[in-house]
Amino acid sequence: MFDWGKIGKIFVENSDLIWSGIATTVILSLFGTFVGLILGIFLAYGKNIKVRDTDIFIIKILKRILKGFCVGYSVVLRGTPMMVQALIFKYGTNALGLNWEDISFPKEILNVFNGWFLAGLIVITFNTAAYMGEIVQSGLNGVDKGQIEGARSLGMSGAQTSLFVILPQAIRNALPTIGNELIVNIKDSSVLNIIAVSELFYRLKNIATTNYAFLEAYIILALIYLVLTLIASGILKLIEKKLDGQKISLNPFGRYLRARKEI
Amino acid sequence: MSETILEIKNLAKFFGKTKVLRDISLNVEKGDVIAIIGPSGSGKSTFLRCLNLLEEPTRGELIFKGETYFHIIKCKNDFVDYEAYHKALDAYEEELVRTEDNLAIYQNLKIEGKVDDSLNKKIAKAKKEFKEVRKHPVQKIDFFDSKSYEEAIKNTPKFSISNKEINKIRSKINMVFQSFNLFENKRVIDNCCLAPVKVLKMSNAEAKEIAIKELTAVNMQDRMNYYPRELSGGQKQRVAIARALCMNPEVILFDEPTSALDPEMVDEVLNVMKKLASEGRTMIVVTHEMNFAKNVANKVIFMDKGYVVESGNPKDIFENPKTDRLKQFLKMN
Repeated sequence: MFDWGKIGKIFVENSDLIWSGIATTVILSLFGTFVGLILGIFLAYGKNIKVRDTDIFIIKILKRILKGFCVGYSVVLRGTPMMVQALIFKYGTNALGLNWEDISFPKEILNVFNGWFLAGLIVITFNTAAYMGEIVQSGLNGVDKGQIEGARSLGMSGAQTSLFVILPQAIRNALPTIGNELIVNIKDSSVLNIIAVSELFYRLKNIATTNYAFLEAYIILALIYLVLTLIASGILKLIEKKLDGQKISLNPFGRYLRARKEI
Repeated sequence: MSETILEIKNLAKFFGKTKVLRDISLNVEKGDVIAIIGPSGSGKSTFLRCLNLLEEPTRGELIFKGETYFHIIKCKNDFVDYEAYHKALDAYEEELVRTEDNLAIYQNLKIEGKVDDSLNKKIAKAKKEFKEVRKHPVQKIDFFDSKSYEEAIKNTPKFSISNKEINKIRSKINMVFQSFNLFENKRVIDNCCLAPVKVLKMSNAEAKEIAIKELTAVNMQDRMNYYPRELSGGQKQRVAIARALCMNPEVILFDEPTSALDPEMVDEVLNVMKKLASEGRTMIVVTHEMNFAKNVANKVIFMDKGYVVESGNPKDIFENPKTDRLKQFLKMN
């Protein structure tokens, strides 16, 4: 029979493992999202490369190759599940003679850092980059063309215009979608258990089998994911408000209290 | 004696076969306030955008303070026999329609059920004819006189300018837009500081000092820490003018600066522009504000369909228009 007391018991008894899993998942998703975003920016610009008639032959060829790579990259990485990508990455690197188990980190915190963690980090980053490329591209398209003209007419170069005027606006416009990607990453990093990355799902699965308490373990898992995503979306809302120049209040009920006072 | 700042020789711009600007020449001297008036679609804005190369002219010569920054004498379009080209194009389209009709007639007969051997042959023949016509579309390049083009190119030295030099020119010929184009992600003060710091390599403190001075000049000093979206249209345009002034440009181009504003705001922007004119700034203003052209400008240019129809001092233009087109235009206003 299902026993509510058991949930608390399992949580307390295995709290070390669970905290290690939470740390792994959080680092994976945060790192994957941020580095993926940076790679995605390059990808978006790569996809937007324009081949001009006036370019010399070699530049034309290089541009075509680069553009083709960027387009192909996002098609392949978005068109296949991350689980499959992780497996191909694992066995591909194994075939090349790289064994992730052998890699060890000099310092060990919470049992997070090991070779498989590094492999998972690479997979999630490159997977996210493909989505981020698309997100940043739509953000760039959403910026008014007049902004470019305004900057260029003051004598700013193309790179300066992109860096100081266009990209900040594109990122700001795309921020809700980028935040969404972070939340998706928190949940989707669970598929990395297939290559033995000891993240949250992997930990709880093991706890479930060793304690023979499946339902309890998975309820704990669901609750932890829920809390993580709620925290993430809350922080993102604050960042959005901050970027809009609004005053931020850390009290989530502040708004309602103020409303009541006015009545 | 005033010096010539900007010299424009035979500037032309074609978008495909539409000729937006046709051989416009103009001398801009230091302290000139030139108003360009004319109906919509007459190429005024395009002319202005060509001056700082936001739009690349098709041909012509642009000289800034004795330094040529754009020079193409002959363009490919000059060597296309347009008359013959359009004639051939019309003939081709006619032929296309005729053969397609022919085919349709026979096919309709077939659908109606009147099938015999000769009809099938006729369909095959009509199909072949139609395909044959479609295979050889009229192309512009067939009417392009490449021999004389290459000869003309050979005789003129090739002119090219690097992006860096274009940016340098643009930093001296600034533009104020109809739609303001303030950087939405930056506060008013940062809008003004950005280009001086990045382009003129000023220090932050220096740029800020100049920005505050120019913002005070347009009476926007108390809105320095606002975002553009928090300002009204007139305020935005005044900030845009201050942003241009921070670069200390030699020429300021105004592209219909008051067209997106309501009447009250128009005045506040025009007053700023009047002040600039009285300070001796060189300005080229595309405008629909006839009073501004009449009272502030020292030269008025009336453009229509890509031509300069009439130009001269405002008194002559507004009181004794010579051409019928200008008379008609002024009556409407």
